[in-house]
Amino acid sequence: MSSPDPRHEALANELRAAKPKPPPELRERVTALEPDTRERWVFPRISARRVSLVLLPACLVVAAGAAVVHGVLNSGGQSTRHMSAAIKAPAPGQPPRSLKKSPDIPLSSVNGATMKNAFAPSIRLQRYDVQLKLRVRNLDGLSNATKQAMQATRHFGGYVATVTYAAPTAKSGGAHLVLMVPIDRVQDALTRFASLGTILAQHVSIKDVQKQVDEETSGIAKLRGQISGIRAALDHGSLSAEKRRLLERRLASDQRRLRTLHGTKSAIVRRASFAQIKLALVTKRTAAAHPGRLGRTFRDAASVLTREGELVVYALIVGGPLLLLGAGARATRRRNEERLLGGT
Amino acid sequence: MAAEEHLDDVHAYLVYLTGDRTMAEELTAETFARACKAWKRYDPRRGSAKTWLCQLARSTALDHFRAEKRRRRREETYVSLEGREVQETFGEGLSPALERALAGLSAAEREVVALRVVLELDGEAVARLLGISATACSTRLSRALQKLEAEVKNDVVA
Repeated sequence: MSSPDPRHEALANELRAAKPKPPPELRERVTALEPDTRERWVFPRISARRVSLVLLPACLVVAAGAAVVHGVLNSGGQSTRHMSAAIKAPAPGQPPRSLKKSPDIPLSSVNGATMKNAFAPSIRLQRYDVQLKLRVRNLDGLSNATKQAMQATRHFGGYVATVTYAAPTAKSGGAHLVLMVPIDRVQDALTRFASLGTILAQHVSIKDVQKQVDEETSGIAKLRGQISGIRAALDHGSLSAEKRRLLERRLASDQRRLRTLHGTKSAIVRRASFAQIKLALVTKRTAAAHPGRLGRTFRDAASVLTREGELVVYALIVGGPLLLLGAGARATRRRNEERLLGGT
Repeated sequence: MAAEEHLDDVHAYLVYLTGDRTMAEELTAETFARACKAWKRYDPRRGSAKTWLCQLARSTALDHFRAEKRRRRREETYVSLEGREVQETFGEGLSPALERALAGLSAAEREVVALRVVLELDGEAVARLLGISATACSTRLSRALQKLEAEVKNDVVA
């Protein structure tokens, strides 16, 4: 190899020719050294270049792949948003899609039993909640369906808890109704509601409240027994004035508790005698806003990517100062080395 | 041990870096002792054995300099290269003028001369070894050589 600068060729040649030689003793010392042959695990060194060229793109690919896989798996054939399941509209006169009688089960996961079974009269007290989403043709259809749903509810002996009707544009709109229908008429009501439009999604949950009612009933019986006992004691004339006052206070307290328990039990029984139907009516345009499978895939993938981005930002916020400290320490070390060599 | 073939190079580098033959010999022995322990860590893909050994020699020397600095601070004695009688430190048969000129350079300048000129390592490897950019390495070498040339000329004229 020649000198880096040809002008200094002679100088370089002189330096090379006079290269200092180690004395024989040093050569012997070094030759006597035995290399360490013990097997030892060494942490693999990853260069910054390898990180930037391989690891970083690999991480990006994995992150994007995870997002796409999540998107594809989660999009499925049916929308899982709002705890609902897209189902086919039932034939006229037929109840909506099948349903197994179990608490809080989306329709997409059940088969075999029918809606009729779900709302079949039961000896036990149960709370029924139904969410139904229907698509109607246009705003006129929306208005008519809303009116008919309210009329049908009253016709079945129920009542309308809330109604929200909104038509933000001239062609699209939606209505949300919360309808309370007697439990023995739910099946008829659902059949009626299903005929108001095309079913987009439906969700049914059944909660057993019998145990709760039984507990309230036993609590009431127990309290009644206590109250009878106190009354009997009070009827006895040989009580001291202080003891009588004490018993009267306890009687008043137990009577208050008894009233509360009665109220709670009545509320549970009343609530269990009505099914709550949350009916959502949307026009075609609003319904079309719901993305298809591909759209859902993209949306889910984007949400995963956003989450990953958040994690990266979080990691940078946490690790950034540490990286800066590391870079600062490295620069300081280099400067110290330079100073050390410059002054040696 | 395959590294022994680089003994001359490592020794020469340390002579240039320290400007002291005795110290260079001690550091060379220490470097090879370290190399024996760390031989498994050597990765030929990352550079030649000569470069790796020079890197090891450099860190050994820096550790020594740091220790010396601490010791000097404690004892407040410092023996400078300047004023020292010129001996054959940097090579056998070097002109006294060049010896003096080399002694006048800083250790950082001498080490770049040793690595690039005496050991004939390429610019990129030296820059990586010193932890500086290739441009900075080239500039440092150029300045060092110019200084040497100027010192030698001045010496001859005087």
